[in-house]
Amino acid sequence: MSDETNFSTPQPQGRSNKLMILLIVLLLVVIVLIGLVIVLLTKPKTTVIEPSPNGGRGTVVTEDNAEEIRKQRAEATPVPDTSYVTSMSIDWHFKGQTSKDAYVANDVANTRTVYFDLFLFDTQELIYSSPYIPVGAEMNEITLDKELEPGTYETLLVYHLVDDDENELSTVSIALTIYVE
Amino acid sequence: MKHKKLIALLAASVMAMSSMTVLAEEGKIEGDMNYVNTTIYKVELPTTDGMSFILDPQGLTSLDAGAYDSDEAGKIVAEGTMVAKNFSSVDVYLTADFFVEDSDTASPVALKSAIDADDEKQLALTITTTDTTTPLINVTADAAGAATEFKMDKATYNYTGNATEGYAYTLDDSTGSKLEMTIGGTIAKEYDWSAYTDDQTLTLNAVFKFVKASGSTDEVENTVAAPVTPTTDDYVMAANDDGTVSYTFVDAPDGTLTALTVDGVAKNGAITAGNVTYEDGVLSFNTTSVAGTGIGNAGDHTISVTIGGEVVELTYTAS
Repeated sequence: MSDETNFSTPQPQGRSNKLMILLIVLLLVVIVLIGLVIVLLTKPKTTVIEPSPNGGRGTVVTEDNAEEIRKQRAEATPVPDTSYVTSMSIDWHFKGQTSKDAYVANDVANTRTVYFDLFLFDTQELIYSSPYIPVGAEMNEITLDKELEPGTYETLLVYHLVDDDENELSTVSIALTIYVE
Repeated sequence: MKHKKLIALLAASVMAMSSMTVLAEEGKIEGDMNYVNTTIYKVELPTTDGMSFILDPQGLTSLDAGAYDSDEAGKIVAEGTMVAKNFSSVDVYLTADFFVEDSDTASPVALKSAIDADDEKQLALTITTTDTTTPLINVTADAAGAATEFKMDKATYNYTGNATEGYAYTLDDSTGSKLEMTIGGTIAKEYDWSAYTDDQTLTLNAVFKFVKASGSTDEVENTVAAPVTPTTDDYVMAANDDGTVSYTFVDAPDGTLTALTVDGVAKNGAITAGNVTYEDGVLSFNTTSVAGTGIGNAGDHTISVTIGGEVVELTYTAS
């Protein structure tokens, strides 16, 4: 008489329990995700004064934001970074690419680090981009990225105010004439 | 065309964020003014954050406990006040060229003097100041931008300090012209501005320019060397209001001053004339008062003083 080993086979009931649990977990995840989407879509739109490096933004009043704007105006919430004290020379003479009389400082009255770009107005070409200038620091010599033919050039100098993470906050633009000898 | 170029330039400037190093934060010499070969202008200007504004075509912001004010419909209201202030030691003419960009067209918006069609996209922007009811910016005809120029008086700088601690050329920041500007105006009430509530934007920007006002008489920063801290030769020089320059030696010995030579030339008469003072170990004299000494000329000089019977040589370098 041979021994026959009876192996007990996995019960269908145990397997279906695991499947059930997995399904429930998945369902819960889906419900949470749907809930999040609903919350985000229905969250009242608050009017936040966002950084405006491109220009002062015009906010159109609608029924969605009218209440928030009324509150902000009533509270006279101050707008940060609304001015910048420029401290600079305005007669920049270049011999070759370098100027000895170009001077730019980030005055101690300011609160933000800045850098500036210098563009040729006619061609819109960027001819210099400064390093970051912390408050209290200054630059006494500027070397352009390219050599210009002798002459007088109309340029646009754009100061960029940045936060501690170097995110752009706002700008100040100054028309400047430079002289290349 | 000019404002279209400005819009393109300013957009390019925001995009062109090349990698940059940080300029080492250097200490400044004493005083608010550095001595360089050109005049330094110090002018506070509004940033783009200061140019934010609200457009209320339907006057909804007037609703408060049900009290609607139809006069508020179609108004442009500033979020804050723009400030310009001249901290320079010279009068300046400040030019401000304002324009509004429409992101939909990447072009300047034609500014109008008044709304003449309430169902068209029209903007009549004004910039006023607190000093006058006359608008600073008042568009008289459709224009891509509006510019204005105004004169700003200089600020006052005074010399402060002493021979021991050093001299400084200090700004009195309560002086100098200040201009507060407020954005205002009207927009077309019946036009559908809803496209500008999300991705499409209307933005206000300005390009400033300042030049020295002709006739401004204060040239001090150009002709007088800034005070410097004492060197190893222990002297200090400072500009006086009368145009002379004082040299003060703080390390002179004690005793009675009886003789003075400058670069080998006896100047005893200057002592008796009172142009040279010696008190509490501090020897001071003015350049133009000690006529003919040439000690104000650039280069190295030697002053020999006899104090308390002792001859002492002091050297300094004038720049």
